[in-house]
Amino acid sequence: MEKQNPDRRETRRAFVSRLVMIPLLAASYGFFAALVVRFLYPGRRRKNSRPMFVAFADKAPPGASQAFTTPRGDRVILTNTGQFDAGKGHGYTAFSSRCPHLGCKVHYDAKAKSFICPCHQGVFDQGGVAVSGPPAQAGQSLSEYEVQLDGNSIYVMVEVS
Amino acid sequence: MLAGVVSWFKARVPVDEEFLRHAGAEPVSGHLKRWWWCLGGTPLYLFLLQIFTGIMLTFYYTPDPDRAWESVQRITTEVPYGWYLRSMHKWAANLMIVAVILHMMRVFFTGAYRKPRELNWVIGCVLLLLTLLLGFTGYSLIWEQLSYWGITVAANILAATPWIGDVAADFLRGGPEVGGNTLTRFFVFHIGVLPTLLIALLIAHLYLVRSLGVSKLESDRPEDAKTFPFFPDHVLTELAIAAFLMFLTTCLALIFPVGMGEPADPLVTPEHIKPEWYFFWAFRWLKLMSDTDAVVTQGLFILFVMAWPFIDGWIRRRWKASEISVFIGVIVILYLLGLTVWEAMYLMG
Repeated sequence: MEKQNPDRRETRRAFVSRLVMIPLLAASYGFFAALVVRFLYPGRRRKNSRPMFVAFADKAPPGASQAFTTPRGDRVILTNTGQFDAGKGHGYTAFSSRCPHLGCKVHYDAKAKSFICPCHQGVFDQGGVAVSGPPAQAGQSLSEYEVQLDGNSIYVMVEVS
Repeated sequence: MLAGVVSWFKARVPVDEEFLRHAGAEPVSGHLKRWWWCLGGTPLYLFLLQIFTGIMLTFYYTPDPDRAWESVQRITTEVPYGWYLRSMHKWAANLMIVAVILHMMRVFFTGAYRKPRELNWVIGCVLLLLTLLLGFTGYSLIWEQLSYWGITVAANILAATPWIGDVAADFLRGGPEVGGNTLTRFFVFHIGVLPTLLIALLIAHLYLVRSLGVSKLESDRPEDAKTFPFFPDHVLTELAIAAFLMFLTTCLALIFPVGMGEPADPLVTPEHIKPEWYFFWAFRWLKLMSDTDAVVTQGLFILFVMAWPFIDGWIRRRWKASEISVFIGVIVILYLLGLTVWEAMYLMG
């Protein structure tokens, strides 16, 4: 059998260790860097939202509206528009009662089928979009919450902490 | 394209490539293949890790007595992977102190501090002191009970120094009491003053290592007589150490993650104030005599350790090639270890 040249063996060994070491080091430090990026952007994590029970459907006839407070303290108006939305599977809406203009409390007017802000006569339609008053001029709308109907129970997706 | 960019820079940033290649391939003694001789690079890497994790933590830390503890808690419990970076920062600090001590012992027992390397031993001692001070100031920033009362005790010990004691303690606290000024000062020391001094001395330390060369090892092993190039051989060794240190700090962070103590309360002194383990020896020393005697003897002890290469040089000129340093080294280590264990046993009850 031919005797191996010791110098050559050393070179191969060095080559193999480089071949293994460099990608592994890159992978490890890359993973570490990924964790650091998560550390630097704490707001990027998914919002922690949960369904919150709000009302029974048989106690909320078309045109009815009621307000409730989320765990984070936002005041929200749940409304039965009376118009079935096939995409959502129900006719309920939930909008923040905070007027996007200056933060006054809006209320639902069942006859006018719109949300009214008393401060500067801002009017929003059933979809939360401003149709007159200062919010309409600014192109603002009420922020919406997702509503889920489960049997007779109405849930609204709210943020917790 | 790339060649164009390279030549653009070469015309504007003239670099002597031949010099770099020559400097990079500097032959290193064969005995540096042994892990014991790589202990100098270990604290260096840990220090780089400290700078990095430290900057990360500073993004969320608030140096205000009313908010410091909460901000640390937020890092630990809320910010994604904050617990990991904070645990890493703490464990790398502890490992850095261990590594510096081991490096120092290696240098001492192989006589590497002898002429012409006496000054580098002195610089190394100051680097150890700076590392300890970084540990102390860092621990204080959490502003928990142990931080607050640790600073209080340290300032009172400092005040026991003859002549300059009161002035020094007031400077440390930023007034007669531990409070908002103190935390701001410790913050500035921890993230500004001490790291800057450490980097400056580290450059001097490495410059002397390089210009004086690594000390020769008296060895019978033939492979120790060979040399190998600094780049890439030794650099790869250091990279392997760095990877191991990342692994070790990560394991420690996972198994022993940092927690939170009680927030600082200037009105309630906790029953047991204990310093970090690396100050146990000094704490026990203090209990053996009056504060002033302890501060003076500790100061003299540190001066003795720093001046040892010169004392040793004088002894070796008088008594040819005396190896009394080994004997003295063992005594000093046993003394410090004894005080540390004594204090540890006392604190554990």
